[in-house]
Amino acid sequence: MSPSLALGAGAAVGLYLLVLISVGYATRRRGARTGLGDFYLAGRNLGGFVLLLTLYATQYSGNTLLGYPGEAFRIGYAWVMSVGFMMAIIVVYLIFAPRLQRIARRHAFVTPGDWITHRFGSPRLTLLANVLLVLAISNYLLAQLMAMGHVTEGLSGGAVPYWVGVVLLTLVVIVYETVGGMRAVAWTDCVQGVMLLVGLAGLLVAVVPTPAHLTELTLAVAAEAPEKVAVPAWEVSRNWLSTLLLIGFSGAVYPHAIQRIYAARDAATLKRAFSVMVFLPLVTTGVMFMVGILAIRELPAGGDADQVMPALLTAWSGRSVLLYLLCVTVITAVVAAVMSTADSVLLSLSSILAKDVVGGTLLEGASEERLTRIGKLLSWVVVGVLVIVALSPRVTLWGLTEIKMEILAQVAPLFVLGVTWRRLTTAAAFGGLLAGCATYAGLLLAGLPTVWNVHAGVVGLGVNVAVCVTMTRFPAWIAPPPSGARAAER
Amino acid sequence: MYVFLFAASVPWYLPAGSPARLWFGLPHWVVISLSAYLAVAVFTAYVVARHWSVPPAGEGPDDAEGEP
Repeated sequence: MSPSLALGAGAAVGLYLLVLISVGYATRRRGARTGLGDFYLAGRNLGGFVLLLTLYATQYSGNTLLGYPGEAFRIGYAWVMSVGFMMAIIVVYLIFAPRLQRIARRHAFVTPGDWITHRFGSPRLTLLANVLLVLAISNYLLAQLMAMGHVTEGLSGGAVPYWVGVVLLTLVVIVYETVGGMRAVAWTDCVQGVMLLVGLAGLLVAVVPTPAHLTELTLAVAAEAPEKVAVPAWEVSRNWLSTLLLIGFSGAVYPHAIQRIYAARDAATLKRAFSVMVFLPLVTTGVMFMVGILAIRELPAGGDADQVMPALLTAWSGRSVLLYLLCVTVITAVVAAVMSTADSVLLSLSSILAKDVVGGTLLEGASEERLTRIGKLLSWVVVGVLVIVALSPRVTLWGLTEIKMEILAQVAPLFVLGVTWRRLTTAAAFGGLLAGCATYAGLLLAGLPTVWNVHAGVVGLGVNVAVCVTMTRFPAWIAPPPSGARAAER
Repeated sequence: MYVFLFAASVPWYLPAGSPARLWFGLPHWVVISLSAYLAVAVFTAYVVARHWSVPPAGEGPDDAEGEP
């Protein structure tokens, strides 16, 4: 990255961090109470505008802005699937969110585990689901912390070391989150969501996709790499369908997304948010897709997919003052995307640990104020541990992302089937969860991350649902009635 | 409807590897895919507006009580 772009971006990001801390402090003074619902769900009073932007900023992480153009650069036009899988999340929400929001409000849920306990009444099922959720989102949070380091190091051209990026950005997040809880997170998400939209609009201006320009581009790509333009092979189509299912179901049960459903002021607010949300993949992942396709022509073939965005920004920033300013905005938007996801995941993790784990065991019966204080403390502990891990990374970002989605997919039936299918029994839900996890883990251990180009997590989800349906419909197959009952039947 | 639209978005029904025709400057199967996704968005907005009823505060059908 050029020194002038690094300097401009550094100033913009510095200013942006100051705005975030100010917003966090401002929200603190609005919320005087410190109950769990107040701290973790903003008093269950998020309005339409804030709810939309916090859902948006949370759903699109740094990986969207950095990783997705790289994937389009690598696999070509088939990456249009990214528009579809982000939309699939909203479609899955529609299956269960309206009813869940109503139930959550009636019973004052705070964590995803509250729903599972309410619906199934089984402490061991709630415990298993919480273990999986904590595992998945700790993974996700670690990925965001590592992304903070990679983003600052990569976009500053190495001027800001990886460890400074991790520590500085994490510190900003934990400070405003401790000060203001969900209110601070939601309002900073608004700032971050606006930054994302402005950055994407900037990219659209830079891309200028007129039909004539697109024809020229597609013909050039077809000449250079015809396989990236031709109709995809059947193997790619199978993987595409598998990805729609995997992201659709796992993305809809992110704990921080579930908590935003709880935090909506009312059903009408949630309706308005979803009505707009479903169009945003077209202008978010759709733009990232086009940027990656542009890169096929502008960058040398076989280049590092993760460097596509920085390389394009460097190339564009030297062309005009307007493009320079847009590139600075995009860089700030990338930082915003990483931080907005990290803060939401951290808050959700803190709530599960404080209310479901500590509040359900060591401090059973403790007051909400005390659990909230414990939650804040746990946030610092969790962040401290994960920062240490992030400073000596041994896994790749993509590896972390894949594991997280496939674990979350196994929890999806507890929400999707649990909300919509009254007959689903606790034994069936527990059996399905165990079978799904065992299938996924077994396939991974057997060295089969995909089966016939279908993700192991999707195969696990299929087994999970099949067990739920079979055990609910035919309970006698699993647990035969006692002999006395059988004799009576005869 | 969703199954149809998402299935239409994936070009499994076209001959694999065949050269793409250009529609609006993009390969035809990409335009079909994007059209299917636009239809998903429009249909979802319709479903939310017409079929998601918002009960007055304090009313509405009871929640899904399962069979623990």
